[in-house]
Amino acid sequence: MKLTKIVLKDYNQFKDVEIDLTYPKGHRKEGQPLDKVCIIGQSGSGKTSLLRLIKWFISLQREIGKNTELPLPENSNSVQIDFRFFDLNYRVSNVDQEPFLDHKWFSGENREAFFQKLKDYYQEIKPLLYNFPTEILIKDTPPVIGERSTLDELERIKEKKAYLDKLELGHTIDFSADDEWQLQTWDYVLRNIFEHRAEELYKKKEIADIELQNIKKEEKSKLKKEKTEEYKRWAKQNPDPLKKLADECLDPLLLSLGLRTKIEIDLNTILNLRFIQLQTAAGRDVPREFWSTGTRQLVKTVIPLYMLNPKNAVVLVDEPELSLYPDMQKSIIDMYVKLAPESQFFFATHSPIIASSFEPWEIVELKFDEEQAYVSRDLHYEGENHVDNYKYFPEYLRWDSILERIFELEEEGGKKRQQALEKLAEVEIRLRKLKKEKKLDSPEGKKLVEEFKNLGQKVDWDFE
Amino acid sequence: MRKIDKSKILSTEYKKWADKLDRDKAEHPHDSRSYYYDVFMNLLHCQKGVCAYTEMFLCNPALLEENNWKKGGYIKEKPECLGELEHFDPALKRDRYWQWGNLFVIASKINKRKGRKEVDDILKPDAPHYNPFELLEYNEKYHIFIPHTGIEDEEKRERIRRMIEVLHLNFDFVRRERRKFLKGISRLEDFQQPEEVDRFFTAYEMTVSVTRE
Repeated sequence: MKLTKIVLKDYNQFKDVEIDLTYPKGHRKEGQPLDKVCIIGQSGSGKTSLLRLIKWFISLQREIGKNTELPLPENSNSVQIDFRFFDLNYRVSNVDQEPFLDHKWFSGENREAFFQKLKDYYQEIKPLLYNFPTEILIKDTPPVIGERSTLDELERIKEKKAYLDKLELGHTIDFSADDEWQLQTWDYVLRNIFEHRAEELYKKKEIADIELQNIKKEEKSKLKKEKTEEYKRWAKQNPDPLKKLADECLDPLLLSLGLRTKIEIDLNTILNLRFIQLQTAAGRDVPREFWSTGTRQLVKTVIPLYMLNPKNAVVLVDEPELSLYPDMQKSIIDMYVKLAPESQFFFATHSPIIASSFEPWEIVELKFDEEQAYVSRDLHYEGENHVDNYKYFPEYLRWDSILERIFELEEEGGKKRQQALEKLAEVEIRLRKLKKEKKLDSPEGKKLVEEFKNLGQKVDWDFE
Repeated sequence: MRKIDKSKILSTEYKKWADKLDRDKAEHPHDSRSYYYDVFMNLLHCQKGVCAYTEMFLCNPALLEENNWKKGGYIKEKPECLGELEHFDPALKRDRYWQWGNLFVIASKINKRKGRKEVDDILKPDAPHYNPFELLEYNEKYHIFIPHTGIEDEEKRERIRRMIEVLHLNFDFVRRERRKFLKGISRLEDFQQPEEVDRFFTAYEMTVSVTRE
């Protein structure tokens, strides 16, 4: 499912805003939904509101076709969202009509085909929405509810399997939900890892238990050999999904943070049956409460995308730059997109480095009107929406140029820098004149050279 | 900041109205928008389509040709130009809102920042005594205007410095635009005849004069 257009007649601070989410004319993907969208705008301009609206819209899909009453998103009177599900186009809208009943709201090329496809899609339990709000950093990962022994936890995983198999949680992976739901979400995301881990522990326990059996030594030895062989066969046929996650996804990212995923099972704690554990490069465990916020941000967003391999999903990431050093921000967008290349991403950001990963038509800039009352979309093209008519190309700009052109930051530095530059400009002109008069060696000349040197160093000789 | 000649009145209906208000010693109506674009476009015509202070580009020259005025007024209701109407001396705004001599069109960003700061006529672009080449110097490497180093009177230099700040002649955003524009012109001049300069005239002229030296 990919969104192609959002029309906000009346929603929060938006009034008569139309956001085209397709590639412009002249693009090789002309008319197709954008693969990724970067929402920027001043604080309070509605970036997060827009993400919430998209989340609401995707949640709505569960109700479509059921002829039930549909609640509107908060502070919304009139909205329309066009979208494409596989190759069919649809619209959900309550513009110019009485709201609430989905048969009025919903229109499209082939309703029955859509309902069927949606049903089939859900049968695969493929989540349609991944929501990573900023709260993801604050909340514990995942919340640990109650203390249990390892054996209890193994039982829980066994019991959970049947439950998770039926769970409709697959509709949304939403980290804005409450703690209980988050626990279930992580159970769902990491189920392959924990089920594999539980199986491995059972098999190892089975081998260890042979020692306790009241049988002859030779028989014990034979049985142990058989079970060990059986375990080895099983291990070969069922590669550890945690090792795969570590090798293919997490560890390359954690490397720059001096960390790696802990693969070994620790029988003294249930933590390795609850979440991923990390170690330093030297092999020392790093308890979860000591993870940096940047580490949490990375681990929590990357794992669901890697483990569930989304297809045709919508992925919302609010402020992907949170707690990440600039160097890491450079590559994070490409990394997310690679994890779910067939999905549509919406990022809301304040970072020029994040914005540099986008084509110009993928930028949605929200801007207040002069009275600061309503928000509209600031278009970055003139005339027709054609690739040739765009003004700024973030991928080709320097970070400071992005701040200036896209984020409209008017100053290049603080007040002191400005004053120093003005003084430098004057000192240099005076020096030029003295040079012409061959008076650079005069006391005045020497004083000015000294002043020039001092000021130049302060502004890092960067002023032209 | 180039010298501006505001003697060419094309919006004659506005001028008649404003003169009558002055003759009658009547207070200028703030909320009247009847002559807004007549004044706005006439000013831009006198300013050659650029911001009166920073010389940033505001308007397509075709919209400023004299055939756009008919019967003493500008022909279009809402011409597509950037900029805002500005009162050089904000103290005159209350009683003499539409006084031609106090009005300019400037870039919106500058108008927002200038606000109600007190002004000094020493750098008023249409003042008879104003001559940018005597009062200002331009450092073409830093793209910064400074008080002319030939002026020895430190008090006068300080007055000029203050007005450079009030009018935002060296504001980072303006400086960057100016630098890029002049850089572009200079690069193009390596390969083709110089294009007609349509903004940042003063900085351009001062840069050219330094280069020729």
